[in-house]
Amino acid sequence: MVISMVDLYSTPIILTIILGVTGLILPLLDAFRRRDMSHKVHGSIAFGALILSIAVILVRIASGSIPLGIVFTDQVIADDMFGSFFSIAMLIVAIVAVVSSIEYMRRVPNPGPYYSLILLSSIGMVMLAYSTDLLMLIVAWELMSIPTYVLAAFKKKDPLANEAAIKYFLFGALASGMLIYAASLIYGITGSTNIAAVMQALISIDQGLRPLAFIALALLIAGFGFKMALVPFHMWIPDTYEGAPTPISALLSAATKKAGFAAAFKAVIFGMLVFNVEWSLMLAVIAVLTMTIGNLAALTQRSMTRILAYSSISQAGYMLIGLSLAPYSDLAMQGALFHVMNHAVMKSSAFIAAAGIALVIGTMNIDQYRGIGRRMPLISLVMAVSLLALAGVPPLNGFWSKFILFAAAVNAGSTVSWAPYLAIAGILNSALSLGYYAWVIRRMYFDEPVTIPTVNQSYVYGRAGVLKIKEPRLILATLLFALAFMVGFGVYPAPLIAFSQASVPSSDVFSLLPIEVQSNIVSDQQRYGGSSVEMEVEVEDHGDGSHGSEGDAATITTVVGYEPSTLEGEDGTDTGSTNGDKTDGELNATTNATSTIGHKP
Amino acid sequence: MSDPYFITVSVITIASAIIALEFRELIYGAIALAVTLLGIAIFFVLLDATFVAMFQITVYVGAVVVLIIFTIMLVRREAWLRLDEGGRRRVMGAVIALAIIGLLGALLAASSIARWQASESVPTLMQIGEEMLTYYSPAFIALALTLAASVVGALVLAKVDRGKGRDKGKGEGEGEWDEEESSSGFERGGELEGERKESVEGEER
Amino acid sequence: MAEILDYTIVSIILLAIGIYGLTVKRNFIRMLFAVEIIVNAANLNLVAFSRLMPSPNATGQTFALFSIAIAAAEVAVGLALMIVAYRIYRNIDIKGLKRLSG
Repeated sequence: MVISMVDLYSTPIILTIILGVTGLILPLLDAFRRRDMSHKVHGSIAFGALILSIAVILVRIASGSIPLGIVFTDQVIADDMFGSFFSIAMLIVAIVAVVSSIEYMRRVPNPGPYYSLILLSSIGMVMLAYSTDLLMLIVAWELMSIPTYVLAAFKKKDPLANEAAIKYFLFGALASGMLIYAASLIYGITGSTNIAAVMQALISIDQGLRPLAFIALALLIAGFGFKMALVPFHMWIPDTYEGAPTPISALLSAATKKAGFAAAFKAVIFGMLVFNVEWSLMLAVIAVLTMTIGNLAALTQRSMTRILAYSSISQAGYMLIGLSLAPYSDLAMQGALFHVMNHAVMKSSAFIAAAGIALVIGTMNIDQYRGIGRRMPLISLVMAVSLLALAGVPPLNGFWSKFILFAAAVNAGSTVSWAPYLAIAGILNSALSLGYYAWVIRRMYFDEPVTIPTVNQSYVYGRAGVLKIKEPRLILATLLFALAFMVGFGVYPAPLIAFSQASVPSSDVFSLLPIEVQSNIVSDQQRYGGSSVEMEVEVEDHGDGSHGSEGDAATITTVVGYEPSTLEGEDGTDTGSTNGDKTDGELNATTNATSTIGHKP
Repeated sequence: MSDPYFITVSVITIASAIIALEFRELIYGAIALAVTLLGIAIFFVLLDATFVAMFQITVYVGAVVVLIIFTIMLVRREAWLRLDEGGRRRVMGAVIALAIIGLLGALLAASSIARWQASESVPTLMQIGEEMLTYYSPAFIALALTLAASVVGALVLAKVDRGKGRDKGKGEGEGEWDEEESSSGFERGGELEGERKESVEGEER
Repeated sequence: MAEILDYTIVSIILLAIGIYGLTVKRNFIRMLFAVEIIVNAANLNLVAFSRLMPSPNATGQTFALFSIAIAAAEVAVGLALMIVAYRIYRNIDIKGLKRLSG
């Protein structure tokens, strides 16, 4: 047997060392002092470790030694761009959670273990993103999950937090049981846990073993689905996000969910090998269900965290569009990755803004948000911007990723007939989501201020009679970072698009696919007279619509069909009117646009 | 299916798994769970995996079940010992379980693993050790961190926090720190804030 | 010597019992039992495949070792959560905890 040790200088190992050492030292710091140290000390140490980790990833990428896309090696971890992409997204969320916790969790005892658990959980996420082995994937999954069970219950006297954590724990334990069972079946079929070896074995799979592979993949998707908030497995999400401390909800919604996607990207790739078309159709159906049910449920909610939780469910649907179209279009994967990064920032900033508001006014109920826009102008601004970004309003970053996803779905229509419907469903859902986002914004800016039930004394200053609300500073700092991200990459998305493009699993992964799917991809490329990479570049600078081939024309038509309708929706937001008519208008506009594209090829 | 040991062990394992879930007294349920886990360990012995069997007994029966039993003893007087799930719910669960057994069992029986011939070679302990410390070494590190995380987490949760141990007067002059208070501290702030809140409102108008 | 099919059937029965427990029971400890039963069903699969597949290898056993350790870590955290719940409610029938739903 060849003894193969893992490279100690690969990014995941360096990150593990940095975060692991810091994470294990943090709880020990308390042991040397009789009194608990404040959240500031521990939080700053954790913040430093996380910043250092991101710096390491960036330096490694800048050095040019990281291979592009997903690399499957004969090791349990591979130092690739895909993993780096997800790691950066998840570490950003961890930083946001840490910095806002310093302020939000100020009065909760045991700061050492708190930040230690966040760091340990982020190691799990990082290793999950880099892992190329099912066993590694499952261990990293547990390393990511177990600390979050504790973090969700960190306010020990709070019954809501405890119930949230228990629910989360039970679903999490069920999910990991399913994952281990699925992995055991895959191991039984292929004799290995290494994903590259599994893929090789599945290509030449004995027909008699296909049903087993199907069970295994269904269990895998179910297991990942619990973390990803896909629809049949989403019931714990709103309760947990509401009960857990809000920075932890941000961590769960924006980071562990992404880790679920990173894992699912890898699982789906070999799912495609065995069941090419049925598999992606199944994922597409789940995607549409997830989007629609999440949005419909969000419309009826009055608690900000529950709205964000349901919106988080619906956003999972958008990312799943990219996943389900992965074998047919590199562009879809690119859009999904881009959306992963965007969603990480948008959703965490929305959660943290809600936390900041709750810190001052003491409630998550949006009916109490009236007039907040004037009392807490900065937090409200970031809240509004992140909600609009979540809805996909240009020129914010959320618009671009949704746009790429939908364009990819329309493009893939030439290969798989149902793909354009995904784009229609996605656009309709964006309009639907604008309904409840607009409601929150209207409450904040356009409603007359009402008596706030309680105002936290610490955030009030000025002499009697002219008291003002002081916005929580650290929370504000994270929010301003998020605002810069959302607006900055909304105006100039090219660097992120390039980064997500570099992280897309390269098409050679799919060269292992059965012949019929491969020929589809080839014909797709022939039809559009170029490689898919070329199309991606053209999406980037869509404004100068002077391209020859039909594929590009289709892309540009979508732009034309999409932009005005979204702006209409935005108008609806501003006037604060019910946007039922607008939604209909948008429906017509988009249906027309898509149907013309549908006829072209 | 001619192996009498196998049949005996499987009947005991499955029966005690059902007892673990259905027996009224929770503590006997935990003991039945221990029997199930022992049954699995015997399966491992039958499968020439003696090391895994030993590990299963020490970790599961020796640690996990004992931990569960201790916890049950601690909280056993409580009302939740009386299970009250309805008969309909139970029937539904049984139907789901039977459907899973039927469906997956049929798929398995139809698949080609039914025709697999067992080989004579047995994986050795040395191979396990070699794999664990070479190929799986990053997973091993991750596992170590997982266990560390669970220790830290379990200790934090189980610890009883004494409310008076922290820096007083620190942090915006909030005075004495009270553990009952939630993190954001708005309840008390609200109570004390009677008139000042009014004045915030007044300023808005 | 029993064949691979026998072991996988036993494992599927245990999986079904575990899922039954999770769908029917509303008691945290019972649900924890159910999760443990599922994980053990998976471990049985792993070790059985490791020994009885056409070309046996040790990976299944290694995997089983990892999975046992993970399950132990999970149980520790689960029981700690339960102790916290016990301190709050003195009653952990999660059917009673309805405040979050809606």
